[in-house]
Amino acid sequence: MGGRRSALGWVVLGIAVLVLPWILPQRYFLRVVDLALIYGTLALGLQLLVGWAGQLSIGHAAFYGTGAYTSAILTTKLGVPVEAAFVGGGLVASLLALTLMPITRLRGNELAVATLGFGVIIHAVILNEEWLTEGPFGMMRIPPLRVGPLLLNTEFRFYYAALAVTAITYFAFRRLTRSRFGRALEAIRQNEEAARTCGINPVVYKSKVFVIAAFTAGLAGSLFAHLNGYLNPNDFTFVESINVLMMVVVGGLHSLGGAVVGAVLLVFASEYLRALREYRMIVFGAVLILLMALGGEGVRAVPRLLLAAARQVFRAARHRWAPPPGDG
Amino acid sequence: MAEPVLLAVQAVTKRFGGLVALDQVSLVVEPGEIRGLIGPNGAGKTTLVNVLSGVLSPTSGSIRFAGAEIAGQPAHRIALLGIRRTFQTLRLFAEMSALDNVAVGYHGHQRAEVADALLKTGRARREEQETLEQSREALAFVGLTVSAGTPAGALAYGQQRLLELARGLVGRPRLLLLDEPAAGMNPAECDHLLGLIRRIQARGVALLIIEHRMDLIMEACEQITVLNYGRNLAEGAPAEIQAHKDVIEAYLGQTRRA
Repeated sequence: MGGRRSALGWVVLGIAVLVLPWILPQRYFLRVVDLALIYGTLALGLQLLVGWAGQLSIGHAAFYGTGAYTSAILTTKLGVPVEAAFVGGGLVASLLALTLMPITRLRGNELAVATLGFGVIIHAVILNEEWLTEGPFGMMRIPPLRVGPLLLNTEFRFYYAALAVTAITYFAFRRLTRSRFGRALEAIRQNEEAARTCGINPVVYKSKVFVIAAFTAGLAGSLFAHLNGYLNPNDFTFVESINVLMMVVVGGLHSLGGAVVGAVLLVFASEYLRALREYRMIVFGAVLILLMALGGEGVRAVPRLLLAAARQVFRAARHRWAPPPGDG
Repeated sequence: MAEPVLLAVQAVTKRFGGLVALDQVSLVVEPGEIRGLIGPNGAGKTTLVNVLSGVLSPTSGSIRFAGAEIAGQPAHRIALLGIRRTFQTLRLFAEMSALDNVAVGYHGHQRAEVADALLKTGRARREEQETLEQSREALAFVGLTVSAGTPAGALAYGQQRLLELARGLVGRPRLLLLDEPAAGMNPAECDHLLGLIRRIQARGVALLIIEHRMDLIMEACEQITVLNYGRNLAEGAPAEIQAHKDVIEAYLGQTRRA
């Protein structure tokens, strides 16, 4: 590890993200940044699930939606303080993940389809249980986030809360992935049978990682509920699950930083490419196919590829203008 | 109380649909013994190792390990009880470093939970340090001198075999199952393996070795069990096995490997 250089990098990054809202205080821009941070937290959880444990989930929006609706219901209907409701969103989402324990016995495609089904069920519940979720009209007048006396009712103030959640999630996951726990997840992903003969019980580890990923997704959902002030069932469909998965893939599998970068890239792309309308999804799809073809490294592969391309162009040019002796 | 038998396999049968892979197989391994398991292709040797290590559960029969019944127990529990194995077709964690591969084998000797990792508790730090020490020691023991950061998938074949051995050993098993440990090794590597097998035994670990290289088996093992068509065919010391009529017949039925 390049200790000193990476420490310097962290300091620069830290200062940059702390002063960002002062330099670029436009409300719309900050709103997009806030969203990017929320998705960053969401993508981190899915990265742990997919990039470390190798558990392909295409129903992550279910946990996100559960967190959002839990927090909204707790604050608007039950008068629970926002701070508690925020944590409640994470807890209820992770409790829901516990019910998934039986499906952690599934692998690969079967697991993916099961998580898809799970996502469909949760969406159906949100859409139809009107007594609880207001159904298709959505939940309105959700109070803004607050920390004690400090009301985080602007994009500017919210930014620091979202930043803190994303940063804490990132550093917590960094510790997790560098521990016995993370090593067990990687072993399960790379060869489940060998992991078992090393004394690792895959069902336990998969369940734990689902619970952890669901908890952070629930927190992200809470954040979204209190930033937006309004929730609609359509915010939590299958498309949303795919969106988060795209962030993980774009950022590069098996990279925590990549998950955040992927989230930022995709949120900004979808906001600022609105002019492209439906073509946006075509562009997204094409980029995704390209990135997978590059081997799951995501955007991390781009600088290396650019360098290789530049080198090739350079070599071709040199060859053309100064043919080596004996040539031609 | 004396503990004469480490592993007692009794009348173990394994069926795959209509196919009987193991038919009433019995086998005993004494503590610290090196036991050979041979037989023509398709005799059920690997199936037996899979059943012993919990990768497969037996259809019927009893397997007692250190006095406890383990037939049908899940693989991870059997591993924690003290049976470790290697695979005929290597099963390494290809993208992880050599050191991390071995460290996974030490999993069962660590207790740190998610909370320990998040808070970097003393326990987590101590265990992590201990894990890395033990893993380095195991790598050195098997004679694998690679930079610890090299991905396992990038190692030479013979090195990968040694790495799998280190991963099994680091878990401090009482019984190590080796499924064709010499496959793909050159004569020099085979010699190294033979020495290694003896040093493993000297640590008090019993070994059950499947191997097609008869020279290695005859050299290393005190007792040999022969399977044929999923049944016990013969049992005895190497010299007895080499002279055994049924064994010769079973092997002469096909091209002889030596």
